Amino acid sequence: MYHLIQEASGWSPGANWDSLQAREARLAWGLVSPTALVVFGLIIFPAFFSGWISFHDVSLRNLSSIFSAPFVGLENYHEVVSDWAFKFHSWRSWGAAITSVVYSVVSTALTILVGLVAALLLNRKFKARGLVRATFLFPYVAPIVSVAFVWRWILDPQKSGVLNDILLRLGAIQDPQAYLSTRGLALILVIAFTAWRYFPFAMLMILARLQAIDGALYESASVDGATSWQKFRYITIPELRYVLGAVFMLRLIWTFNKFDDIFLLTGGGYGTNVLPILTYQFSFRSFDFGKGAATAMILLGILLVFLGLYVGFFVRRGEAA
Amino acid sequence: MAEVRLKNVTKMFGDLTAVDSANLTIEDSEFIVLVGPSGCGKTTTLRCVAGLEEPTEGEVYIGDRVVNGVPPKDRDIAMVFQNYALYPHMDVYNNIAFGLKLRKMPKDEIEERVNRTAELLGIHSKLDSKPKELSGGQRQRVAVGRAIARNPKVFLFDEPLSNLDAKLRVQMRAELQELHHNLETTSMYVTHDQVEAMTLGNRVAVIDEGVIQQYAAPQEIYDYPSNKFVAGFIGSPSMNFLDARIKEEGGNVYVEGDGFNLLLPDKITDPVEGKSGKEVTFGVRPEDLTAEQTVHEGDETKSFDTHVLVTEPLGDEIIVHAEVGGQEIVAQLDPRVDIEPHQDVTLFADMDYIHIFDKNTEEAIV
Repeated sequence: MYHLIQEASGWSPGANWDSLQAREARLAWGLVSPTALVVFGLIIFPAFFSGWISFHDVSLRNLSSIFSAPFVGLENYHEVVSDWAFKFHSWRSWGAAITSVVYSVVSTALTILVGLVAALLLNRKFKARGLVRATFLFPYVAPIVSVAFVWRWILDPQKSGVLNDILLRLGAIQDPQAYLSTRGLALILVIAFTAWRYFPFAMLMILARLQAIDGALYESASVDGATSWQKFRYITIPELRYVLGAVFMLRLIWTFNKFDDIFLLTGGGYGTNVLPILTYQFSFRSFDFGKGAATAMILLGILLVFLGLYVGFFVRRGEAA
Repeated sequence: MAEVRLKNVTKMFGDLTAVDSANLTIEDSEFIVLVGPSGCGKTTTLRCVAGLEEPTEGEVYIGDRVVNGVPPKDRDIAMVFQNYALYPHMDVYNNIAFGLKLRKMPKDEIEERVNRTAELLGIHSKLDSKPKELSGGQRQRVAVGRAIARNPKVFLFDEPLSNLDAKLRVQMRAELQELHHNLETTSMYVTHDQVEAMTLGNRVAVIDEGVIQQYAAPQEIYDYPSNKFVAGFIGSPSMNFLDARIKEEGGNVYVEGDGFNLLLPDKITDPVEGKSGKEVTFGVRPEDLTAEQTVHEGDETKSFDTHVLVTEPLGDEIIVHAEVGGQEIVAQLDPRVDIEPHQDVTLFADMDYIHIFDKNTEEAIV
């Protein structure tokens, strides 16, 4: 950063303290430092400190003298990986890392699929299109707490739960069901919730790209003999390729990091325990900060892989363009 | 190949009439041009033939078949779009092959047709390129190639040269002419450029405000415009229009206005005889005016006394903007005549090529 500022202002250490360049350089430092301090204090330092904690045995006992916590090497990682994060116990019980991957990949794919269908529908002309578009944005802009509790109310295990009530009245079920505390179903519901909540984002991005497609391409394809499906297959999809790829990678990274959506619905129980929630549970339920930090580091490692894919995707795109 | 016929075709967009009961027959292997100013309905007419628009009224025939309601893909037509509409993610080969593949043509035949087309248009070395790697002229050729590879009954061109620079446009114009000479496919070509219309068309339809004003061979349109709009639209610089009236005197018929009094030749007096005093618009093309150095007796019956405002020397000709009786007149003259601005000059009209229009209806009288 110093180097950059120096280059931008043309200032060098030998120059006069009071010269214009020196004053500009000081101003530049002054302007950058608040942001730099915040970034360092809230992101860079905690990240490295978490890394340090993950190699130490830190709990409530020694929190006050944290820097004398015993160094345990990879023991935290070993326990997390072998016991919790990656282990495939049975089809009914997976490690959190596997749940995380299943949850983020499936819900992201579903988000994009729903977003694509919604965008294609809203790209047509019909009455009150603006109103419908605004309505479709609702899940994305509404506060997470309120929409999560609406879902919980619908899926409430008591007889008074909306879904239970409807199904009981229809005679489809005999007894009220606990949807969110049924293994398997809980994960499916959490995935459905995520896809429902975030499809408007995918829809907006796809819609923006759809509207930029030259209409003459479709007319030309009509003359060339293409059916509606062939136009979609040979024009729309290739034209959307990059936006679909970019939205998929972005949503995958964000979803992988997501804590609040699942936590508010199931608290991470019944087969919906993902890495961010596991991190929380280690750190703030069992106060084993070492394991919590190790879990967070594993999460970071996987995210870096995704990030690499995302950057790679844009580099390839840059070369193709 | 086939004849194309429009019978009372009307196209409305809401309250707006884009095409007003158009009747047009394009004979088999004929190349016709629809020309007119922006928004005159020429592209809409073409799109009705393509099937991209459905006429509100009237029938479109391709061959003996009424094609109203038939989707574009089943009309056996090919269209070249103004912005080419090449598929950006396909290479040139696949752009040309796309329509053939959709029609489930055998692979080796597709290959043969694409190669032959590319050869014909000189884009063989570009078959692996994507459209964005091509120059404007090459894209244009690919767009044409995509149309001819399918070997359709009818070609439709929607201002295909308007995105090219002037020099390339002249070259592509000649290539399109040659292409039509070789393929002899029935073609409809839309343009706002009258030079393209005159050079390319076997026949030209001049359109204004949704109405076909005149449909005839280019020279006929130039020599005998049916109304004031056609007369003013075709030809560059535009025809001069001067307010005038008919005057009969001593067995002769004159057209008289401020600053001129021209004797009409006997062979064209019939339509105006007995209409003395009638208000008309007199028309003469700039190239039918000359400036003589010496004035002979009797010459005043075919001349204008003008005052020169501006001159535009172009090398091969000089365009003179002058004033006669408060009205502007433009003359296209031999560049070697010695004319300066603010000079008084006598201009002579070639009375065999003058036009007289009804002042109210703007229809041609002579």
